[in-house]
Amino acid sequence: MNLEQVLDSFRYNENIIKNITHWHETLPKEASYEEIPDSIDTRLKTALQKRGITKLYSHQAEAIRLVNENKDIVVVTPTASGKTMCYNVPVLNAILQNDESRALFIFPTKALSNDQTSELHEIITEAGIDVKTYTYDGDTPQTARKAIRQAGHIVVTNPDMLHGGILPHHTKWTKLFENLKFIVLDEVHQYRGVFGSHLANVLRRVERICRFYGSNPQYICCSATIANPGELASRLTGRSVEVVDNNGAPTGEKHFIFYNPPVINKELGIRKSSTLEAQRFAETFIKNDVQTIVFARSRLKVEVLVTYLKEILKKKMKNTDSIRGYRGGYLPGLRRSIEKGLREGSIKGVVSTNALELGIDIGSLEACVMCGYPGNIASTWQQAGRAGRKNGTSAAVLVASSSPLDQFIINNPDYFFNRNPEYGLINPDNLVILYNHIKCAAFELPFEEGEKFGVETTEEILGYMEEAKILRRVGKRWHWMSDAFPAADISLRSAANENFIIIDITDPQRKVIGEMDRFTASMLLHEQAIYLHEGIQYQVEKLDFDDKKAYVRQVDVDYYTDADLAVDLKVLDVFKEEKNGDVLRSSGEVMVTSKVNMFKKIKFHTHENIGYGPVRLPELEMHTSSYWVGLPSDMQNYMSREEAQNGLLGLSNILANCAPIYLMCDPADINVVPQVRSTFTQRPTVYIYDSYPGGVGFSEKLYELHSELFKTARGLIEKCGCEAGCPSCVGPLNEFSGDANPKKTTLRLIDIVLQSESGA
Amino acid sequence: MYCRVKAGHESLDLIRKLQIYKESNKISRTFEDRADRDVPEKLGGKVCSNFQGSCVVIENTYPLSYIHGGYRLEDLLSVDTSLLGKINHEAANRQIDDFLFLDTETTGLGGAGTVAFLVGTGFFRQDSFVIRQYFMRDYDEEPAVLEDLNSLLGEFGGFVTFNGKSFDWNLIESRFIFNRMKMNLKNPVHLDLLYPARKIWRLKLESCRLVSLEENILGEYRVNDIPGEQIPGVYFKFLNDGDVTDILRVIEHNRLDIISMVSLLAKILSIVENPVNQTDGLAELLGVARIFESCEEKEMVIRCYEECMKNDNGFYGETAAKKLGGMHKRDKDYEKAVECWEYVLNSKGGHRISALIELAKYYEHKARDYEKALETVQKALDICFESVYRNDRIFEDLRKRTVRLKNKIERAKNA
Repeated sequence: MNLEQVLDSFRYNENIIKNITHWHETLPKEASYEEIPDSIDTRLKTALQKRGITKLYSHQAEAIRLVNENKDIVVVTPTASGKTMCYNVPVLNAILQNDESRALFIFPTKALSNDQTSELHEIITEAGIDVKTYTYDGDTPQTARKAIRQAGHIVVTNPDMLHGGILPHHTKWTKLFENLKFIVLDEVHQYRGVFGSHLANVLRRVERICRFYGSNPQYICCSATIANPGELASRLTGRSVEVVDNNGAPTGEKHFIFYNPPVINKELGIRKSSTLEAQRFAETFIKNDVQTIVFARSRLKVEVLVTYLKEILKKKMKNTDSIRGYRGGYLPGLRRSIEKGLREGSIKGVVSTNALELGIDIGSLEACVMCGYPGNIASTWQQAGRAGRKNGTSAAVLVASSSPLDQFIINNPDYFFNRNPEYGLINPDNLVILYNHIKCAAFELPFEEGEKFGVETTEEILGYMEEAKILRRVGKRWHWMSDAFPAADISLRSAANENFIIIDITDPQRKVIGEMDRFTASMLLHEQAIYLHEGIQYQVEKLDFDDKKAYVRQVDVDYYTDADLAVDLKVLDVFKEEKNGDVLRSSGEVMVTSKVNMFKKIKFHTHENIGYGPVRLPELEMHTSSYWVGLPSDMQNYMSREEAQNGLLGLSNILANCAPIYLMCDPADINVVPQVRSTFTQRPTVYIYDSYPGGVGFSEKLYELHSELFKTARGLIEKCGCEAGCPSCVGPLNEFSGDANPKKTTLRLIDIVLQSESGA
Repeated sequence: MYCRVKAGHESLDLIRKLQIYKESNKISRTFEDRADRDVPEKLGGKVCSNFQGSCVVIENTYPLSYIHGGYRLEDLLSVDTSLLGKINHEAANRQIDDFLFLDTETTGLGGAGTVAFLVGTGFFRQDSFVIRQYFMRDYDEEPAVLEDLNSLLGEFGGFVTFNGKSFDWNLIESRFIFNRMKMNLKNPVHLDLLYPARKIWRLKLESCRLVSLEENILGEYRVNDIPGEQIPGVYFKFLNDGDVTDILRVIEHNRLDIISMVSLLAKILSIVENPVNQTDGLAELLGVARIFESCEEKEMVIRCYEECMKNDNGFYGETAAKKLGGMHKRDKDYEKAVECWEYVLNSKGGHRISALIELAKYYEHKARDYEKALETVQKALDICFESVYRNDRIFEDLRKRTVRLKNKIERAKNA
């Protein structure tokens, strides 16, 4: 069967069609064109014509127009809409007009940089022009670096290299910084949370260096569709950025299928495993020779799915190497070979984390199966976009898990297809991040009196560093006074600076098989944990916390492990507070201490709990920002302690599950802690905090969204088909005590909050 | 109902927060006044001013008869200047007094945040050698240091450093850019002594750092010298407390670096001038040959190698013979090449197999004596089998040769 026939078979299969909540067929859309403006150099026009481009899509034309008017812009259009032209054309054109002009292209990953450079090379060759384009990243050979610094018209790099390899050595890059006309930021929606907050500061540093060398570059940004692309781009760049979103690109026929696995236990609201269902779709596609990408939400799921699929397809296909896994933690060489296999078609199926969501060139696949909702709408569109990048029929299947967010989306397709509530949030002024970048900035160029680095309080921070003797004030300048190289101590990507390396000791010849950040390491690499890599199980034999090494050995067991985290929270400061009736909502700063104390062993397939073990690891401490809701202090008058406890637990679970709808974050990026009687508020309180030191803006946004958040929570509970509670709404029943219906109790608490709002 | 938003919460608690997050325990609240007006005198220098500001200049003059590292300073002045070309072809026939000796002491290992707080220079003037050091009492004196240095640089056609190519000069260039100043030097010749020193003493010494060369080659031992890695810390401490005690040690350290460069250059040139007599041991002689190789003085290379072969039939002789064999082969002087390879064979050292392979190639392709070639390959295989060391690539190569040679012999017989 070809893809159309496979889709037909779904339509006529009673067992499948009854679980499909929505089948969205996008009809092919005609393109909306404009003429290539006269301002574009004829050589460039000819090159475009050679590639069959005689006209521009409307959004491309507008982008070029705005760039010509010296505006900073962000282009927001779907995958495969010719976004790269929006920056390649104006940048190349500017260089043709003035050979001294320089541009800096920033992509979130090395792989993307490589892709972009080869695309640029193609246009340049076709145009027969002398525009030197180079990638400059950790892989660039030392011998080539000097030439790139001197002669590169376009330097393609990533935020990490800019931060650690270019800015601290800006005196070697005078040609670039003196003549920098454009900074291109692609995949802007990726720069949110911690990473985005870091990048915003790196760009503040770029701005300082440019000012020093007398240039003032213009920004051209691109983003996937989110609620606030303009705001996000503006916060990142510190400029007011104009949004270009009049997409004029044509699209092929596309089927988007929402599939909700059937309920198998009505009482508990348990649905059939999304992994099994996703696997079934993937199996059907691959068996019919439809090249398929499967997205799973965790590294663990990727490994589980690869194992399952290989096992099943072993009978049908001789070469199980045509099914591969792909995720962070694999070494670069392996990744490149998988990408190549996908492009060449030797790999028929790939199971990936969101690592393949970005525009890495893996060619055009026909089908995409998402095992569980990817967590946000922007990612979902990007993942679905991996299938059918070129014209022709393609299909994307979203298989919902029983998580509340999945259930919300699968039952509210309108939300997904018509509204976009997702905000890309960053907090460039996060003190921890800001402080580190001020250090780097001071290393790069002394601070002048009155100079601002993002915040009004810059001088106070400089004064503090002066006292700590990191800086030295002489007259009106602060100079770097340390032999340290500050950029080396700061990683833009993770909360902790140093990663743990994972060493396989199965063979006498030990080898490094992956790496992991500190916080995740204490959850996944504690001793006796089962760690999965490329579908192989390893048991952690020793975790050397000080030297940041985990020693693992191959095992073959039928369970996986799950660590339990114990958390304590104290309020340090209140920023905002509002009281309605007897309900308090606040945002502020908290100190969270967390410790992994034990882990559970959970059997595959049945998910039975088959044992426990202790974890002895140091406590981790974190200051961060939080949003909290204090319920009426007299609640115990009309509610038993047990009921209150159940209600708070239910409320925590549902809020934790609703928040990502708005925040575009990973569920792990925020945490929720209920306290039956908070020592700080003297009330029953639910705290939601950012899982990153200093906070990156999530809880502030939740404070603003307060009532909308509670309304959404209410809707979710009401729509849920279970009787008293399930993992899809207020949480699994076995977490609650007593006989009361946790759903009802939770609803009561939500109503107290919502009524206080309307009563005010 | 009430609503409050705490205004300016960020600034209110900023310092407290910073203390929570950061270097809190490193803070010392007491502050000494750095404004010590006696600094120039204490350092034995004086304040110099230019339009960029002022800095401290410390100047010491040495008579030309001053001896350091077994050389008088004037020895360098009397060397044949053509020799300079052998260590850097651009420097050929330049006068020694056209060179400025240069060495910096810095606040770190590089990057835009590293500055050279002490720039030491040395040069010949009439009847003396002058060491002039520029010291910045604080960061704001850097432009003045660079300005003075710039006018000094303008008087010279080149400069001499030790590891300046990758460090000192790099840093100075970067500081000029940083301060938006233009350098007066036009196409200077940069003589970085690290490279010739490495060529000559790589085999002899474990380390070719300047201090190691001083001790092992020049016979100079430093007393109370400050270790390089402590230098940034010394400067920061001085900035904070104004105490010059350790700065004086840094200044002395820098002075020694410069004067040692003079002796080292004299040493290198004398070795280059007369390798056979001036080298101490065959390890050095082999090293000098590398210098002649890179400046393509074939005759000198041959002399050095032949001298090694004459005096030693161990490692040095063997290595020299191997190299020389290769040279003769490139010149198509096979007779001499064969002599060299046979020399290697007789020395019974580790290069025997490669010599046998070379010989086998010669017999097979040039002399076309397949029997002899096969015999040679067989000899190499025997050595392979005897030895505990086994290189698969060589082994495979020998095996293929054997097969090919046997075929050739067979065909020759049939023909």
